[in-house]
Amino acid sequence: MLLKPILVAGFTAVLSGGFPAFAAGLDVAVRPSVSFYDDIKPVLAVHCYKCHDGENPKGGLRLDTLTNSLAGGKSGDAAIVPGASARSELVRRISLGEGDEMMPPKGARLTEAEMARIRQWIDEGAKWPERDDYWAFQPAKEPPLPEGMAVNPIDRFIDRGLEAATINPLPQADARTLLRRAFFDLVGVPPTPEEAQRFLRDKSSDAYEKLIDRLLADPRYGERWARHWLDIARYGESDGYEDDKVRPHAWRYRDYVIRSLNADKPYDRFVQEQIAGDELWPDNPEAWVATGFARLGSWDGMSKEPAQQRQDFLNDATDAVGAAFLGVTLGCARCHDHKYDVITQRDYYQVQAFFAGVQRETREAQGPLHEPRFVTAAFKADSAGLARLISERDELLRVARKDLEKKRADQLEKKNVEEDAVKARVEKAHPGQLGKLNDAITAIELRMRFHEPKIEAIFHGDGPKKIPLLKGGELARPGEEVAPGFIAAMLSPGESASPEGKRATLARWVASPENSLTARVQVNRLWQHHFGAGLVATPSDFGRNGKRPAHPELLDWLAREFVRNGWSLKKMHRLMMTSAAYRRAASPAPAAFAKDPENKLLWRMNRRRLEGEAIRDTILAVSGTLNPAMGGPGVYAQLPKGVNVEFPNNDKELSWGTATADDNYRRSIYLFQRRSLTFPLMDVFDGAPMNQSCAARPQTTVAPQALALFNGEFTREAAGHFATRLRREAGNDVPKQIERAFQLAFTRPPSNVERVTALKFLQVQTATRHADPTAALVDFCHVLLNASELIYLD
Amino acid sequence: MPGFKVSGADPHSLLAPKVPMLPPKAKSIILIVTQGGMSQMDTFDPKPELDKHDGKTLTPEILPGLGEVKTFFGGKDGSPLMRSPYKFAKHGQCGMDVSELFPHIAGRVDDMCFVRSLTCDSNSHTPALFQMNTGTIQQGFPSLGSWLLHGLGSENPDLPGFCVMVQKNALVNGGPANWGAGFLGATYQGTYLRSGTTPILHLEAPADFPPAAQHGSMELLRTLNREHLRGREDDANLSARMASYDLALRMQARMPEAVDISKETEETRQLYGLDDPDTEDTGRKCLLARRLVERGVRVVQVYSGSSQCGGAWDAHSGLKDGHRKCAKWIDRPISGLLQDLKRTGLLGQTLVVGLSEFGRMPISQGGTGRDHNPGAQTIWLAGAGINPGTIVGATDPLGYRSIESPYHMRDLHATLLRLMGLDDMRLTFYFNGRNYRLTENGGQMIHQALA
Repeated sequence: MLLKPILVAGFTAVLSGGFPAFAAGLDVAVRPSVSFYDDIKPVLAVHCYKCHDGENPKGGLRLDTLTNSLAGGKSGDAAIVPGASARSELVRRISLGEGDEMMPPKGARLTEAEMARIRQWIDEGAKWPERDDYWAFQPAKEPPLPEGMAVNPIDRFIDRGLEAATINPLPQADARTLLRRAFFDLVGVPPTPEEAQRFLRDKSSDAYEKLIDRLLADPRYGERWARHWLDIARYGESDGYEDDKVRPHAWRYRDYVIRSLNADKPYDRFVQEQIAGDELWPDNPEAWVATGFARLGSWDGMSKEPAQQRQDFLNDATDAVGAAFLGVTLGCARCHDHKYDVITQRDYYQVQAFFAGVQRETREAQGPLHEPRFVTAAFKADSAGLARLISERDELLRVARKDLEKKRADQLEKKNVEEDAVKARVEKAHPGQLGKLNDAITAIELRMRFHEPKIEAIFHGDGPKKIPLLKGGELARPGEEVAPGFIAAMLSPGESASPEGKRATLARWVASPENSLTARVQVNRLWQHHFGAGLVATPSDFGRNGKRPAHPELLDWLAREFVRNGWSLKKMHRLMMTSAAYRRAASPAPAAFAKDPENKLLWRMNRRRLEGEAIRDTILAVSGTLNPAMGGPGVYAQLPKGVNVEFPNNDKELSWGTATADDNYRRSIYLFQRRSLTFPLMDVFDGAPMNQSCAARPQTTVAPQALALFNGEFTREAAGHFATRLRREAGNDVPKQIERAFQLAFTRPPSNVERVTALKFLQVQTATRHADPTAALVDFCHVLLNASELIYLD
Repeated sequence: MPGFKVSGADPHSLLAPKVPMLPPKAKSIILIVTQGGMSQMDTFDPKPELDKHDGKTLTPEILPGLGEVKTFFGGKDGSPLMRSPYKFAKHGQCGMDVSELFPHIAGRVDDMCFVRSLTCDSNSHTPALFQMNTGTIQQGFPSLGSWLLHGLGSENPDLPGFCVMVQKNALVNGGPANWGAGFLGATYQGTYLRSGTTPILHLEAPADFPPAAQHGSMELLRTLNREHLRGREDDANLSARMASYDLALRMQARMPEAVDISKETEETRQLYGLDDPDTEDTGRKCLLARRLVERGVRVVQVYSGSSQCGGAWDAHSGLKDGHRKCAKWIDRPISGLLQDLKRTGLLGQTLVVGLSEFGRMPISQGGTGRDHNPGAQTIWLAGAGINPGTIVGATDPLGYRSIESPYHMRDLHATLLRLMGLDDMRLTFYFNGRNYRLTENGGQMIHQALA
C-alpha cells in the first residue's frame, strides 16, 4: 500500500527561491494572454529545435521564424495557421499520443499546459514579434491603483487578487506576533520584555507605525540587513581556493554596508558607489571602500597563470554586477548566447569591458574612514608598541654587535661581524629574549594589518578599453573585439549601447530611474525578506529561466514608488510592513489553502525560520550576553570541538585566531568569514556560500542542526548565562523565573499547561541533578533555547 | 479536500520501514557521482574510429545522419574530433574495455555492468544534476533518495536514512536542492555529512549534561514543541524539526560508532586508499558509505568533483591531465568499496551506481578539452540484482550519441526503484492538484542490466 500523502502546507520553501510553480491555474489567472517569447519560444526550443532548426531541418520544416513555420515542411501543410489552431499541423502533431506522426517522436511530451498555451497563441493570431520585449527589461508601468477600501496601496493590489480568487484572507495577527515579526524582520533579535511592554502598552492608534519607525532608526537594523546584502555580494574575508589567504581590510566593506543602510543611503547611490565610487566620488574614502565590491569574490592566489587569474577576476566581477544589481544570471552568457534568454555573449563582454582596465589596489585611505574608535585606538597603541619592541630589539643587537666588533678589533681580526654571530651573542647574554621579542613583533604586525587605515579597492588603470569576446569563455579563443557597452535587451528606445568606457557610465545606467530592472530587483528582495518569498520567486533570476512575478502590477508599482521616494529603502520597508498583507496571521485556513496552497495571493503570512546568524544572535540576546559593539575586523569566535582547523603550511597568519571573551558574544555578522571554514553553526543552518552571489538561502531541516543546538557547547554555555540572568532578574522565586524566561525567549507569558509542565520539570530535574536547582534551571533554559518557537517566526 | 490533513504528522512513523510494493533485490543504494561530467570515450567506451578521424571536422560523411552538432559552449566553429589520450585494454573474464585511467576499477569489472547509452535532457550542469537526482531539470522536486525513503522508510531508526557526502572544499551545482525532498516534506531530505574526521559534529553531549538530565530535557522540549504546534499543524517543517531532535538523540547513541573508522584494519584502510592524500577524501567517504549501508542506511550519495566552472571532471580544457587527476581520486576508493562490499557479503543487498550528470563530446573544445554531451554517457551498476560483466547499449562509432538501446535518465530511475522494490508508476505523491512521480510518465526498465 502506498503511503497516505500528507500535503505540505505552509511549505516555507525547503528550498526557498527554487520551489517550482505547480499551480498552473493561478499562473494563467494572472497572465491571461500568451506571449511568444515568454510562453512559446522556450517550448519550441526544448521540444522542437533539436530537429526543426538549422540548415538541414527534419522534414524540411523550420520553426525558427513565422515565415518558415507558415511555409510548413515537405508534407505541405502549414505548421501554423494563425487564428486556427485546429487547422495547424503543429498542433495536430503534438497532440498525437502515438504513431509515426507524433511530435516530438522521442523524449518528453509537451505538457497539457504547454499544448494549451500553443493553441491559445495560435488562436490569438500567432503573434511573433520581431523584438523580444521581455517583461523584466521593460520600463515599469504606472499601473492605476485598483479600486478598494484599503489605505495602503499594496493591499489594493493584493485584495484584488484575493477577491478574484474568492479567498478570504486571515485577519491581523495579534500584537505580540506582530511585535516579534517586526523585531526579527528589522533588527534580527527578539524584543526585550521592556521593549515589548513599550509597544504592547501603547494604546495610541499609530503604536505599530511608531514601532516600525523606532526599529528602522535602530542601528541594529543595519546589521540585520547588511547580512542580506553580504549574501548577495558574495562577501568573504579570505581568498578561498587552496591557500585561502586572509583579507585584512575586507571588513571595511561590511561596515560600509551597515553604515549605508543605517543612514538610509539612497539605493541608487549605494549601487553607484559599488560600481564606480572611485570615479564618481574620488575624494570620499567611503566610496573607495565600496568599490571593493568588485573584489569580494574568490581569488586563486596560487595560480601560475596570471592571465587566467585576471580573467577569473573579471568574470567574477561581471557576474556579480549582474546578480547583485540587475538580478540576472550573466554567467551563462560568458560562454555562449542563451538559447532563448535575451542576454547575448556580446552583452556579457560589453559589460566586462567596463572593468577591463581596472587595477586592484590596496591603498592608504585619503580621509576619514568612519571606523570604530577601538580600531583607531588599537592601531595607535600597536604602532607605539611595535616601535618600542623594535627599538628594544635593535638596542640588544646594537650592543651585542658593538661588543663583538670591539672583541674582534682587540684580536686584530678584519672580518666583518655576521648577523648570526650577533644573534648568538644576544642569545648568550639574554637567553630567549630575542625570540620573545620577535614573536611579539610578529604578533603585533599580524594584528595591525586588520587595523591599518587601508582600503581594498579598484581604480581605473589604463588597460584596454576594447576587449575580445572569448569563445566558449576561453582565453585561448579570442573572438571579435567589443567596447564597453550595456545589455542590448535592457536599453530604452533610442539609448546608445556604446557609451564612453568609464565605469561611472555603467553605474549611472544600472542605477538609473529608467532602468526599472534595478528597482524591481531590489524591492523584490525587500518583499522576499518580509514575506518569506519574493513576488518573483527567483530573486536573483529575473531572466527567462526565472519565475514570473505573482503580482506583476504590484511589482511595477512598488518599483515606481521606490524611485519616487528617492530610492529610500527605509520608506519601502515601512510601506510593506504597514500593509494589511504583512500584518496577517500565519495560521492554517483549509478553505483558502485548497484554492492557493502556495499562498501566492498572500491570504496569510508565511511562517519563516530564522537564518543561522539570527538564531545565534537570538540565543545570545535571550541569554543576555549579546555584545552590542559594532564594526571592526571579523572576530574568531570559539569553534566547536571536533572542527579541524587545517590550514596550509600551518601558517600562523592563516590559522583561526583565538577569541577574547567579548568576541564570543558579538553579533554573527561580525564572525570572521573564512571561505574554507564556514562557521559551523552557520554551515549547518544553510549559511550563504561565499563563492557566488546568493539571493535566497536554501532551508533544510536535518538532525545535525538538532545536534548542534542540543549538544553544542555554544547553547549549553548560553543556557548557563540565561539561568544567571533569570536569577538576577527574577530572584529565586521559581514561578517568577519561569515567567521571565518565557517573556525573554518568546515575548509572552507561559500558558497554564506550560507553567505547570515547567514547574514539574524543574522539580524532577532538580532531583535528577542531585538536588541542584541551579543545574535544573540551566537545563530548563537550554530547552527554551532549543524550542521551535524561538527560531520560527509566525 | 484531498491530501489536507490537519492533525500533525508523526514524522517518526513516516520513516518506519514499509513493505516494498514488489520483491526487492537491494535494501540499500550507494550512488557515486562524478560531478561535472566524466568522459565516456576516455574511460569505459573506447572509440577506435575516433583515433582514425582525429583532427577531422565532424561531418555527416564521418557520422551519417549527424544533424547539427550542439555543444554547450558553442561548437559551431567546427572544432575537430579528438582521440582519447589514453590507452584501453580488456580486463576481467568478461573482457571489459577500461582505459588506463582506472587500473584498480579494471580489476572489478566482472562485478560491474556498464550502460553506455544513457541520455538526459540538458547539457547544462545544474539542470542536468537536478534531472539526475530528481527526474526533472527544474529545481525543487524530490530527489531519488527522498522518494526511496518515502516509499520504503528507513531500516535503521537511529541513523539518517539518506546521507550525502561531497568532496572536500567542493560544492555541488544547485546545492542541497539535489538531495532535497520537495513536496514530500523535509523529513525525507538527505543529511549532509562533513568532510574530514568528524562527519557530524556534536554527536556527544557535553560533560555537564548527563543522559538522565538529557532525557528530562528532551521530554520538556517535546511538550513545548507540541504546544507550539497547536494551531500550526499544517506546517510540515515544524513536525520535521521535532522528528530531527528524536533522530538526533538516537544518532547520538549509534552514529559515533557508525562513522568511527579507527577500528577498521590497516588493510581495509589501504584498500580504500586512505594512505594516499589523493584518494584519502573519497576513500574515507566510500568507507563510510559501506559502514552506513551495513547499518541499514537506505541511500548514500558520494560526490566527486566540484561545481567550479571548468573544474575537476568538467574538462573543457586540459582533459588529459584533468581526467587523470580526477580518476586517481576515485579509482582505488571505488574498487576498494566494491571489493569490501563483496567480501562482507553486503554486495548481495546493496546496489552501487556510478554516474555523472552527462557525458562528453568526441570533438575537442579548444584543442585540449571536451564539451558537455547529454546524448551519451557510460554509467556503471554493481551489486544486488545486477547482471555483472555485461555491457548495455552502444554509442555511435565516435561516442557522440547513444544509438543502440538508448536509455534516458528516467529509465535509470525506474530501474533503480524497481531493484529497490518500488514500481515507478505506482510511487506517486498527490500535490497541488495532481499526482507526481519521480519518472513523470514512467520509465523503461534497463532489463539487459538486470540479473
